[in-house]
Amino acid sequence: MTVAVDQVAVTSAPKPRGFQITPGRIGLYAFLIISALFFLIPLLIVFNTSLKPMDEIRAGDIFDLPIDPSFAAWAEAWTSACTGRNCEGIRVGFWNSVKILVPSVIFSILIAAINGYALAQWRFKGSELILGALMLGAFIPYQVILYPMVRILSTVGLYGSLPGIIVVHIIFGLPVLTLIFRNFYSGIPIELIKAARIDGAGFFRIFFSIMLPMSTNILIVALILQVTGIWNDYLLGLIFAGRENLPMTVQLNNIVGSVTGERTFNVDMAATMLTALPPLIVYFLSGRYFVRGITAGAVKG
Amino acid sequence: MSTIRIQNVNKFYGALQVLKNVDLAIGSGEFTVLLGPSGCGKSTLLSAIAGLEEIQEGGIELGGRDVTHVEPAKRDIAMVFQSYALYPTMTVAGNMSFGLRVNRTPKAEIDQRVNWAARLLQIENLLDRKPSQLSGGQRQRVAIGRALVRKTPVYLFDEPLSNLDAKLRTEMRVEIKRLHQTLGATMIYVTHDQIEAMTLATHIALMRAGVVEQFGHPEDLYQRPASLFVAGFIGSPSMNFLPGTLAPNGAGVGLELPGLGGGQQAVDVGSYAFAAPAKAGEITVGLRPEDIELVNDGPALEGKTLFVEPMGADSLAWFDVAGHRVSVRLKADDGKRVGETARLAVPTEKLSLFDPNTENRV
Ligand SMILES: Nc1ncnc2c1ncn2[C@@H]1O[C@H](COP(=O)(O)OP(=O)(O)OP(=O)(O)O)[C@@H](O)[C@H]1O
Ligand SMILES: [Mg+2]
Repeated sequence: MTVAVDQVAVTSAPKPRGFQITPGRIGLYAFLIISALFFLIPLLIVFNTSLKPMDEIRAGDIFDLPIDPSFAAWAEAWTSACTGRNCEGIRVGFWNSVKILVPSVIFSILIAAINGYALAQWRFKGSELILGALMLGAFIPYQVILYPMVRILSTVGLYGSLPGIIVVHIIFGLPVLTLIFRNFYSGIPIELIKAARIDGAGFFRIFFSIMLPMSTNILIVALILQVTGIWNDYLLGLIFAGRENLPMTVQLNNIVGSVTGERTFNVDMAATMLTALPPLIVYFLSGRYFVRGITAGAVKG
Repeated sequence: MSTIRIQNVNKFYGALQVLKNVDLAIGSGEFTVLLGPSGCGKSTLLSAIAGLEEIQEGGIELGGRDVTHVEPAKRDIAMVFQSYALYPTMTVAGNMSFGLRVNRTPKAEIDQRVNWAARLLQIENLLDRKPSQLSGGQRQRVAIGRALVRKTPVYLFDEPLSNLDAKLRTEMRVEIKRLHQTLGATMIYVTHDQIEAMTLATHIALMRAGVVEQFGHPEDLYQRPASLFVAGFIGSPSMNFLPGTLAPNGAGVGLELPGLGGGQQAVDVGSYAFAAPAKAGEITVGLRPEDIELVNDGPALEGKTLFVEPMGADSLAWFDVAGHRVSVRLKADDGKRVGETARLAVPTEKLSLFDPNTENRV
């Protein structure tokens, strides 16, 4: 989440007009720089440490730059770091996370987009009620639903399995995503749908041929929210995924937590970096669209 | 074959009734304009015909088929929206062919129809563009083209020209008229512009607050308005209204008017086509500005000249007749010669008489 925060803050700050330097502006920049550092320094320390060998870490200060930077710790973290009994590295968790992430993201976004479109553009009995329920769903803390969820999933035999954790992620993602899509689609003129209905298109044809192609920005917002949210999830993965499918975050915790002999800080840090990398990459690639999509939604919503 | 029958349609939004007993029979191949002030229910009626809005009472038949509860897609209609409603992510060609693709028309047929419509509307060179890369007039043509390729027997237009500038509007008006003549389809066209209505329509339905006040040929509405509202709405400048008194006598019907000079108390309107035998009493008299002539002698209204507006081809002179403002359309030259006072001859053949209480034509 760190980078997201400063990206949004930096890009949405008012653009300076010319070179007016006012005390307010200096204060603003000072605040922005300090908050950027606040989030960046830990990241830099983690990265820095992951490049050092253990004896250098033991001897030096955490701010010292590595004398001979090496990715050896990264390789070890990836292939042979131990999580309790087995020592196959964090890659197991990585692939588990990918297996959880891809279907969860695709289905949660697709279902939420269809829901949002239905709620925004098709008036039907009970649509207000559903909207109210969604609002509630979006603001209810996870913890409240955890236990009922466990019971439901055990009953249908999905508890502790890959499909189980995927279903959980889809369900937990839906309220907020549906509201986002509903807001976006209510900004689209109703005539468009009327025209398509007269052209003979039905509910799904209109969605896939007309609405979805217009939704690039909002899809990217949803994509970022879901990728980072699901990738960074710890609690749900721990509870619902089962031993075979523990996501990378849980594996990371196990690696960092399982101490046999000396604590290998460099490997721990490398594993941390590896775990944080995918959301970071997603932000760097699409942060621009994220801001654009958020503001588009804000103006139209 | 593509007649339209609208039977006693009532439509409510909650408690608000927006269509009241609308009943129209539209012949095949006719160009019917729904005309009326903003909010009178024109778009609602058009949407009801298209099937986009439910109606609570009444029925709609298209081509002899009851479509009251039929989906828009199955009504065999095409519609052009005021806001164009072009699909923003599709090209012009994609927009025009969408309906055909949905209906699984063969590719060759689609291409042929799109090219035909593009040629007709002169947008052949725009086929690969996106709607955002088009001007208002071009978008309008694409919207019309999207309807045309469907080759439906009925076309519905909802104020298709209202977003265009005056010059473009005139051009497009001519093109729509030409299209109607070429295609011979039944068209219903919503507008609140009476010039568009008068020039395009074979029939006009003039609406007010959900009620069709008069349905007929444009000349009928212009020359024999059924109510004060119709008389005042159609024609620019509007019809002049004067309070008068009817006095039927043995030989004919006398009409007393304020400001009548030349030694006369009344003019004879015995030749007026009364709906029912004329009754004595107060009456509202409607006179079109172009039906009034300035005369030197004979029975006429005595008017004081207020001002003269030159309008190019003709002039509009405004007079004060016994405290009532009366406009008269004159030839440009005559406009320059108007003195301080004038005598306005009452066109007994062409006036309209309304009951001041019911506001209906008598
Ligand atoms: N969805 C709606 N809910 C409630 N009332 C509506 C709705 N749509 C239209 N109305 C009302 O119905 C009446 C008729 O609306 P309609 O759009 O048919 O008017 P119109 O004649 O097309 O006007 P304009 O020339 O401004 O387009 C108006 O009083 C309007 O406020
Ligand atoms: Mg309208």
